[in-house]
Amino acid sequence: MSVPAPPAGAAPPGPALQVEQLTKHFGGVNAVTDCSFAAPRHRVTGLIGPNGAGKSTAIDCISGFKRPDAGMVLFGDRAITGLPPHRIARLGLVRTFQTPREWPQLTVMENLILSRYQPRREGLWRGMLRGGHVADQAELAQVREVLDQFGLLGLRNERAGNLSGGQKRLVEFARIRIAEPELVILDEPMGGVNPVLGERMAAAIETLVAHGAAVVLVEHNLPFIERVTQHVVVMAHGAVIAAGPFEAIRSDRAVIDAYLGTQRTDDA
Amino acid sequence: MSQYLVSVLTEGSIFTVMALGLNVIWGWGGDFDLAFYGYVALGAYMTLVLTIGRAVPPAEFILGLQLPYPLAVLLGALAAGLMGLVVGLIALRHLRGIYFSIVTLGAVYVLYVLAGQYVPLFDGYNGVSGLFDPMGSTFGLTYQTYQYFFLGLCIAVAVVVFLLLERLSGSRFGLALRSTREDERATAAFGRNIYWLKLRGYVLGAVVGGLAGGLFAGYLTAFNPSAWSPIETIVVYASILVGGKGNGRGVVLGVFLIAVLLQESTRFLPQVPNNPELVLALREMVIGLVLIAFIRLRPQGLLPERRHLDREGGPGTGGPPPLGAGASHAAPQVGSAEPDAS
Amino acid sequence: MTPDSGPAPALVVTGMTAGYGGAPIVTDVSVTARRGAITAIVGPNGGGKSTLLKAIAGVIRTTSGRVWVEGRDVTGQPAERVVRQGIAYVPQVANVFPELSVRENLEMGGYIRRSGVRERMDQLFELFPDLHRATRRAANTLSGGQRTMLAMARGLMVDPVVLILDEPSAGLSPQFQGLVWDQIEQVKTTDVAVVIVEQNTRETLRHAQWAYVLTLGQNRLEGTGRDLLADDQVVALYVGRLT
Repeated sequence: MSVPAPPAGAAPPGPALQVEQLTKHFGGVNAVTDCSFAAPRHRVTGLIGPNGAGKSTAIDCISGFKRPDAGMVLFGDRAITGLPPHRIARLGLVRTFQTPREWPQLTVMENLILSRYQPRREGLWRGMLRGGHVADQAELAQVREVLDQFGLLGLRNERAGNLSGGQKRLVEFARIRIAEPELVILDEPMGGVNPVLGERMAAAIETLVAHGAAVVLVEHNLPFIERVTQHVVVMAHGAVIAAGPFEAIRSDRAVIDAYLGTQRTDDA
Repeated sequence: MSQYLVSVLTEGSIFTVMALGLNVIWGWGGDFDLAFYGYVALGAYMTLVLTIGRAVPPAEFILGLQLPYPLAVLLGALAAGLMGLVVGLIALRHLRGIYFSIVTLGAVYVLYVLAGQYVPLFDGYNGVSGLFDPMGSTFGLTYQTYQYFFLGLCIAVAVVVFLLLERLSGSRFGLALRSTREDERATAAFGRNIYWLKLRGYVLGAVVGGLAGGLFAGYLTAFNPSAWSPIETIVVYASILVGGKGNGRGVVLGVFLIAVLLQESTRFLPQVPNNPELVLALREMVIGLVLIAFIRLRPQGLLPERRHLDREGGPGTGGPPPLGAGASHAAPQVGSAEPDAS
Repeated sequence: MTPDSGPAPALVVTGMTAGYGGAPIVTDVSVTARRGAITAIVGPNGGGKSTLLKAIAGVIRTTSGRVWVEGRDVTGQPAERVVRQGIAYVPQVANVFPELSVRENLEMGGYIRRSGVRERMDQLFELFPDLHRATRRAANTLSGGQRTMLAMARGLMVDPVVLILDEPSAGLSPQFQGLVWDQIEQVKTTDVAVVIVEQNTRETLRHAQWAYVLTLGQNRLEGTGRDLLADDQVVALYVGRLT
């Protein structure tokens, strides 16, 4: 997969995301222990590992949906550890969830419009007194254009909840495009999607990178990871056990053991 | 117009204002608030103690000013909003669903007990009374003509509230608030502070409820704990549920059907000789049955919340087929303004 | 495939296609399990292993496929009937009644039995002495390993032909995982057909008499546990070298 060149001009140094010694436990279970990794800018970083490795918990801690017990999360040069999710989103870190989380009763168009937070437009007084327009013409035109690029323009007035699973995934990508984030965390985007459609999904991810975002991709589908990522981080038992390009990862002893399990040495 | 009809319409307008306020909290925000009638009550009480002047012993109540009626109503609404702020700050922080409802129920019960037991507040179970024909003397109205004036006033307030809230519904704020009802996590993931969003909606609903309370005080001329029973909250909820949750027009329709038609129609039923209470009980039964029927068969109400359609931009240039094409999905209806029965 | 001989196998599944509405998760999967043997279903995550178990147990609707228990066709029956046909399903979570005692849990497990509840309980207490010591304790006070033991025993109360285990050691610490395998080996000795999905593939293959490797919801490989342990293809399937 071709790696897009970084935009011309002085790119800010350092990774898009730096996670240091992240730790989170619930009731005696150490879900994430001392997890550290970095996601470089303008690249797609994969986050893989067997079930129960702590990937979802790590993502929740990074995106603000859970409070880490220890550790630090740096977004660019800003520490975002422990901030609430809406603050982190406003700083430019957007995430998806394992199931598509559209707003089902709202139309596809409304789903997209709402994906960009506009603090000055969303006040109560403004809404009541200055007349209720959800978005100006420029924004509406941009939304229609993005919808068109994803082949969703004809569905824009449908209630989002009525769409098929694959269409909902597309809406998710369109929403992320509108939000124009600096970093996107995709939580198992291929889940429930026919693997045959991996090409379209990969293209959608490449479009995000082309627009300047860094991507962290959590996935079980390893061929897809191989196709799309430039850098892979492997988690098992709550910690990072390996990081590097996929070819190196896949032959890594520790990684294979994590996925296949280890035999008990003592025969009871 | 007969006196009876005037009073029915006046009461209907007041309930419309109430239901529109609750619609913001429940219809848009999705929170089943059981404290709502408390805001109505507080608005009524405050309006009364700000207009009828000093308490004459043995009656006791706070304040006892003689402010002009419109000012008193606004202050009553603000007081309700303040109470809504306190309740909302606590209840909306972490609670949702049934836990939220229980906490709001607790809050309104506190107010109810205080109003009834703590006499210096609003004279306990006697309540506060004596608001006769507010603004009547200003306009030099007679007893007969006053009722038309008050009806006009209530209708005017209902219309203004309706228009303002419709506008708000179509605004970005309204859209954002409705998204919290759909999926809070997604709303937060796209940058919105859901606590603050819901709180503003909640306080607005409370203010509108208090406003209705102020009008109610003018209509009833008095208010006491007996005017404040659980059935009133049920009637307001039923109006929204039957008419159309989330839809302003639906709410108005619902009030007309439930609060007006249902309540008043049983008045015309013949009284059973030995059991004069039967008719009232029947009324409450009918409301219950209607509620069950609608929840089961038509939970979105008669006029479901409408989609806001984008008419410009044409049907689309077609692009690549969407993922999962071939899976069932309804055909798009560009240019249609009909609410779909979803 | 093991040669056909003697009575019909405990469990035969053919052409199983199932999902949760929308695209199917497992497509055209076939497995066979025999009494007194541990039959394992392994494969990369997302491969449909849990879904397959649920489909066999009647917990989810199937699009197509047939299920036979000792020659009897039990296809399409809902979970509560399937249990009477001899399939006991032990899910990964919510597999015991937390507020009830061990004894009460077992009684509930034996609910459909017309008789012999007491005797069966005694048999199981012999199989799992640890449970016998905790008869009166509420299930939510048990350790993770004991809870798994209880879940399995509860499933065994109906004297099933097939015991289906969905990741019994999920969330348990490594020492308890060893304990669970010991218990499963014990169960095997009572001539039940054990069908199991487990996270630790190597350990599972070590214990399995026969195993199926599923990827992307379809049969991929099968063989004895020992053979598959040594098979490089299995590793390749897990780390995505083969698709």
